[in-house]
Amino acid sequence: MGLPVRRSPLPLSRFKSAMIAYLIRRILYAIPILIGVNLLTFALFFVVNTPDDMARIQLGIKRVTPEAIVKWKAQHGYDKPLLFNARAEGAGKFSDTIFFDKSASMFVFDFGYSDDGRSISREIVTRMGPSLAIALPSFLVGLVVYVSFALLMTLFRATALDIAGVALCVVLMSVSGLFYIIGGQFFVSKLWHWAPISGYGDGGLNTLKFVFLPIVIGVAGGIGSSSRWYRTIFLEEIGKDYVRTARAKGLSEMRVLFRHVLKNAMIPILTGVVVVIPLLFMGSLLTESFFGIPGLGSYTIDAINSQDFSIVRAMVFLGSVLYIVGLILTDVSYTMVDPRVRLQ
Amino acid sequence: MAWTACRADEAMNEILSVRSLTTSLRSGVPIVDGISFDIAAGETFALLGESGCGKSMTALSLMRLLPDSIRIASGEVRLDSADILALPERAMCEVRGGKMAMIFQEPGLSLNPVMTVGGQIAEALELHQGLRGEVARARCIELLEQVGIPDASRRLHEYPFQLSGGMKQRVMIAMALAGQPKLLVADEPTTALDVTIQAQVLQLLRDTQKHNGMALLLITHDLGVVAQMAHQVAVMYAGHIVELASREQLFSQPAHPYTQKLFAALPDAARSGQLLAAIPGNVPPLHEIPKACRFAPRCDKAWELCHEQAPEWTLIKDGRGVRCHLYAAAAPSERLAVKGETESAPSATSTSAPTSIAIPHSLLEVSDLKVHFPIRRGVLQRTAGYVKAVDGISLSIAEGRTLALVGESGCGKTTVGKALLQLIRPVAGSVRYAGNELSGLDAYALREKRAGMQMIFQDPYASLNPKMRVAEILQEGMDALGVEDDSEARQKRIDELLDQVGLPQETKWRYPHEFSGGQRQRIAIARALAVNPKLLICDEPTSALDVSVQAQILNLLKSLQQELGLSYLFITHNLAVVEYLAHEVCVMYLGRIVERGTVEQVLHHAQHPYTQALLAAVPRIDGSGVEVVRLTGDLPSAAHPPQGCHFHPRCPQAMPVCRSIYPGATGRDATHQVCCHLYGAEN
Repeated sequence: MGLPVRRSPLPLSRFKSAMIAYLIRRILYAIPILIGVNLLTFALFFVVNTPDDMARIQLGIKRVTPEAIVKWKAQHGYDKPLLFNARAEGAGKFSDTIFFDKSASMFVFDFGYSDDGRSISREIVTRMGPSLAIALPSFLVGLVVYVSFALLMTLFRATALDIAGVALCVVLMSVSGLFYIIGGQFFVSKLWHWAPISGYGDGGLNTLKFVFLPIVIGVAGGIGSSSRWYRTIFLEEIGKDYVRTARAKGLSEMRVLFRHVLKNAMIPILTGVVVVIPLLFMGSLLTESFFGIPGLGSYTIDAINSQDFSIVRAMVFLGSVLYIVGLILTDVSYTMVDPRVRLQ
Repeated sequence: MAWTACRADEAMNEILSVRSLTTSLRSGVPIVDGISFDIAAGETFALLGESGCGKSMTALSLMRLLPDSIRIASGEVRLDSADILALPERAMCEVRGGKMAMIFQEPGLSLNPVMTVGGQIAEALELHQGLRGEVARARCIELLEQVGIPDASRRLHEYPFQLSGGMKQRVMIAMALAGQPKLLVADEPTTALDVTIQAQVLQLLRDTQKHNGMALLLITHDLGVVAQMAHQVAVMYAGHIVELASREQLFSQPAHPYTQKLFAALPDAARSGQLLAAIPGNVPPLHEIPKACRFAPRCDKAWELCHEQAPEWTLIKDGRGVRCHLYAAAAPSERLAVKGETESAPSATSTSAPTSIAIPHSLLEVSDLKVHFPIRRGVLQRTAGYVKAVDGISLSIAEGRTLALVGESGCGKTTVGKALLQLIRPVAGSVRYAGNELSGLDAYALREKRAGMQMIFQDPYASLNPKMRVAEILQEGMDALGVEDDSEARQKRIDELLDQVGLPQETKWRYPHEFSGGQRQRIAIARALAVNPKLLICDEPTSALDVSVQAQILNLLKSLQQELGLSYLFITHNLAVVEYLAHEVCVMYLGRIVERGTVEQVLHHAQHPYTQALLAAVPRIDGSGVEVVRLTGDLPSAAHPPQGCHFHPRCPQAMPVCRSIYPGATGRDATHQVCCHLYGAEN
């Protein structure tokens, strides 16, 4: 509001130190969670699916001889015991194991090498750029579009426009995401030639025309579910007593909506939105593979196709880390929109 | 229309005039049905009635703020001679908050939680006065000071959650005053507040009215508030105004049977030996409104005509009107003869005078009970302090007696109730029920030992599982405690319980949502009785109910006590209920008991300044509120109680010693104790 703000400095500094204490505690909490995630992925990738199975899959069914399996395991470092090496000396009993080599090293973000011998960490760093180039604009444009559409439906609630909007949302939600991608490629690229069908360009300006279509499709695919959800949140807020007070003050419906309802509704909206921001780095599996974007999404899909478990394991772990970061960010963002929330 | 004649003498300075206003659901069911009234400048007009009578909808109709499903069907509303119902929405925005402002029941929910107090007031200033920047800021401070908020320039930047309930309502009032309205609509402005805070807010409304001469439309269900505030009173029932009179007329001689019943249903000391004259039944739901007189099914003066034909508005002398066949020319004279008399309620088998009998065997003994909640801070969540919600309470309840625990919200009285049942484990002290120590027992042993204690909660809408049938609700407790193992005997017991609480037996297959608030509280009582308890802990059991329904529940509790010899711990903020029901009273302030004694001693010879203030704050219907002590400020936080006597910052008689030492208990009498330095020296 248009009031000159004079804050006393004391509560603010106390608030900041409480926030820092909170963040430290959350990060400490994250450590056992990550250990758990790590153990779980280890169990999935090495106990359920043993190194012998991996070797068989990699070598193909026909040529499998016990010697070939042993040789493959030795080449790829899977010939050690899983958790405890009784034959090694001292600390080697624990460090000379598959768990230590393959899983424990992930804590320092050392993901090792993929089956074709490339450094996974370097791949991740170079592939993050293309993933972000699609995911970040889709996210930002999407948020603006979904909130605006939901506000529009809320403003015209219980009219034909609102009903048509909800119906449209339900239709959009019911259509598979694949349809948007294939349909988009068919109409926009093949028929109308507005954008290339797939590819990424050289990363410079000419990339813009390549990312245009995936972004548009990414936004369009989410309109149905997100707008309908936001509309529900807005309608719930609009039924609250403080909105009646704002109207009793004589504010017009638009001002009530933008000044009072929007800010309150942002609190539940943030819950679902902020948590995915770090995950944007991971890219999208479907979109990237269909559009041939050299990002982390297509990297993961390719790894799954070629049964390269080192990469898949790395991506699962990275996803968990980013999700935890997302949860912490969500809590911090609450303090920005809701003065009642004080992190302690 | 006959109406205009009745107030012709005052037509000169009226601010608001409402004619035949009808507001209905989209389906056509009327909620407000053809009501007419006028309000003059500087006048307080009270709209009185139980919930569901259409009072709030009347107010929202005037503001044109009705929910989407409800619309104004017909009628005329003139504010300062402008036809409100014909205004385009744009012009109406200028009227709202400008000429006509409104404040609401729940100040906690009515302010935008994420906007500063100053911001919310400034919004109204900008809209109606065109003020911005420094000028707006200065005016905001002025308004906040006018409504009695200390340290206004700091409060400006605070958010609603940082203010107490009373402060929030003051901010609401400041916001309403920002547009300098000619009419202030106050919809149950003090219902959600404690008595001492209610007294402050009502005083503020009176002062403001005196200061700027605005008219006040006060919507309330509380006869005490009406008695203190109103000049004119309209009594609403099921969408109609059934009686309209000046305050003096209404309180000296209520005309409509409904109004008479409302007065008779009020609990107070004078009726403590009798049952209250409860109005049978409930306000009819909208779709079942009787065609003829709407009150006839609950009226004991009704005769054939009342069930056949709707009564017309009838003027009786001195400009007062009533909607009742009794006052029409055709009324049988022998019926009219009884009008106006508050009939004597049927007297119950006498309850003995509290002090005269020998102290019976004690059922519950509590000594030095403490419940502290830790406050955690820092990276490692170390305990940085304690909220001492209950800090050393001792009390005892004898068999067949009622102990009332009285105090404002936040004083810890509900926590006491829960700690007695060990629902919250106390950190210290002992709770002995029927000779057995309960604190420190494990869950298994506890189940058996506390079987004789049951609790009834405040909100019957929230405290019954909506997915369980009545029979299942009643049976669950019996299952848990192994009462009546045989299923046939159990069904018989359920029928018996429903009889006991006055519900028909066939209701046992229904779900809670099919019942009214009063009926649900009956179910809650039946649930508690199902396991044959000896002690009921009643936590504000009637504060969510209407006056007429409250009387039904109080009567039920009283007769159950006589039949079954139950003991009650009655937790309440309502002193009138205490006078009616209790034998002994403990007054609690910030986790400690400050005064205890018999009802007679505490309520009529109160010693502690806090008790005196509480009593003075209760609006009395005879208008004789003893204005000895008026409390300022709010209840302090239990996390940082004031040094010395907890009450000293609000106490008008505080002495230097009060600031440093918490007073010990002083016996005024064998049964009367006070914790106050005023009396310490005499012993």
